[in-house]
Amino acid sequence: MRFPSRLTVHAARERALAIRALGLYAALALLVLGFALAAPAFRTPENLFLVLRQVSVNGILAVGMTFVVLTAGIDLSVGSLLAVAGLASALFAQQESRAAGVVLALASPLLVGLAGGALNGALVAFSRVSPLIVTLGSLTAYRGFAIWFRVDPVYDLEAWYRELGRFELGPVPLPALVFLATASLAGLVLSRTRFGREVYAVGGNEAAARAAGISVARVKLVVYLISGFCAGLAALVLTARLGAAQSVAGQGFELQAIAAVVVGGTSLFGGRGRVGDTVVGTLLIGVLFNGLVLLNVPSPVQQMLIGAIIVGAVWLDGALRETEA
Amino acid sequence: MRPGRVRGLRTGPAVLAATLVLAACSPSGDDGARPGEGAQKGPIVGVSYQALRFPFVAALQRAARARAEVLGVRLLEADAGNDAAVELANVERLLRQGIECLAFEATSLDASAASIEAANSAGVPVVQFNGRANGGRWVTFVGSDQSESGDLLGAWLVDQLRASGTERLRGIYLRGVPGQVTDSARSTALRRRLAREGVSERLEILEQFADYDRGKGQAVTESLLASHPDVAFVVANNDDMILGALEAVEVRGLEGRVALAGVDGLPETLERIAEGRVRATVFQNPEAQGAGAVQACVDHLAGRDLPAEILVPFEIVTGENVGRVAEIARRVYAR
Repeated sequence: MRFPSRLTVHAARERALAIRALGLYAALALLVLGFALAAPAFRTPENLFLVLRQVSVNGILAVGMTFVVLTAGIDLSVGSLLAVAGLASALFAQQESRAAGVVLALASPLLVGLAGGALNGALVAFSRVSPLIVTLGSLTAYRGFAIWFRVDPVYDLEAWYRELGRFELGPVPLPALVFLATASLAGLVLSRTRFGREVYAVGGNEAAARAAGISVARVKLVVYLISGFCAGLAALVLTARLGAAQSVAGQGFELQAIAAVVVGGTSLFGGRGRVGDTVVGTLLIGVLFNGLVLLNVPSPVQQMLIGAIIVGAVWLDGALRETEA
Repeated sequence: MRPGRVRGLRTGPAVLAATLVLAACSPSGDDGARPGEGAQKGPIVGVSYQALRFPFVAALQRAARARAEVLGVRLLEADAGNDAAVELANVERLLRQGIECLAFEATSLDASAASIEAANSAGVPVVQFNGRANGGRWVTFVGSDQSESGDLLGAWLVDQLRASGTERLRGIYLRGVPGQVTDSARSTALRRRLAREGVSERLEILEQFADYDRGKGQAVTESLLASHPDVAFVVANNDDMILGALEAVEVRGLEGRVALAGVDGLPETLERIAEGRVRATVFQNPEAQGAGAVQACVDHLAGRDLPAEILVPFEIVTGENVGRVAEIARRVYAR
């Protein structure tokens, strides 16, 4: 086996990503065009912002998931963690709008998310248990905690809190802004910071990263913290949007987030992928859902199509990589 | 397991004394407790719940506990967590613990038969409640006919159409989970009612599954309202989805122009009905089912004859009767 220089590897990787991304953008463009022709209601600017509003929760989760997947990890616990964080937030948002209540309603989901992420991260970083098993365990345990903590839904939330889910800045819904801001920030961290480079290094080749003096354990801990934080942020957005929190909220969200990441072309083996493409992957799935509902396509058919797109994306990914080699 | 407190019951601290002075403390509502026989040394009744993570099942539990307290029954409870294998293990444990009657809320139509058969071979009588399994022998079933809820929802829709004075009405029907028994029963009965009233052609119904989920109910309604601004009603196979739809309707500023109706009678929906933001729901009575199951066990052990089915009727709730139904909901749902 030849060892290509680091520079060549980097250039080849960039090229593969660019080709892959072109395919992704083309797929999204085709989908948008198709729906625009088939459903007049799809073409309205209002509907565009509706899609953005609808994908915001999954998008925020997918951004956090991208960090984890880039290290060749996986976080299955985000849906359960979202439920716990949502309940915490809603319980504070039920109270009268005194300053403490406002601060706690906003801060508690993020703190719960960070705590859940810290537990995942510590177990992944310092035990030899695989991330799949660790977060499969926490998926179950966090959900159990949510149900034990509160079976009945928390509703009748304060008006200011409800407004967070409804507010629009011009035509742009606040949840969409939160999603896009999170994605932008994550993109900057991954492409412009030392930590971002370390994430790619750990996912690309863990042994080499360790040899290069990177604290692999620290990087792993932090990516699960980020994913947990995103779960908390998504909980805030979802709870404000729904006007209620439930212990059953977020079931299956982890798979939707992973789907968005994978459709966006991030490799489940780590080291390769971009947050920007995760955003496009999220939009692809969101547009598909929105368009199919507009055309009143039955939901089992929607599921089949979304499943096909996930597999198709990964297949395309593999095919393109082979042409590279 | 989270200990469910029975709040808002009228029994209060009198409960301790109640075993002695039972007559003073009959719970309000339904068929009325029959205290007496079990007072000195009440029977041990096992209860297997489908999944206590569902608020409705938690409400069944509160009702069962309240009735057990009144009747002096000792309850041994188990949560199947919607898993027929766990359910069977639980029931076997309960049987070893010496229960005299099993109040059984099945997780599955077919797979739950094993639990009933286990009780049969142990010689312990079974009372099924809320969810019914096919298999084994049981004394009676205390529960509701899910078709009735769909029928009442259909009747409400017919009323909406007639009251609108228009020839045609377009609306959204949010379904639960494809293939799920309750969802199919409600949907079939709703369609049958529309056909019987001869209005099927006049109602243009956009139908989508939303998995009984509040968020999906909201998202589906948002998308459909964008493409069909003339939607006049949304009906849903449960309350969670209609509460999601309410949020979608209000964000678009369509409140008052889209009539909403669900099934369940969750406290939140009842509040929205009282406020006039949701028009109706079909109330499924957890108090009558949970308390009725314990009552049926006690009655059977006391040698009374029971019918093969003790049906708990559904009831359409609108602004007119919401106060009375909210009373029941307050007793069995935690706040």
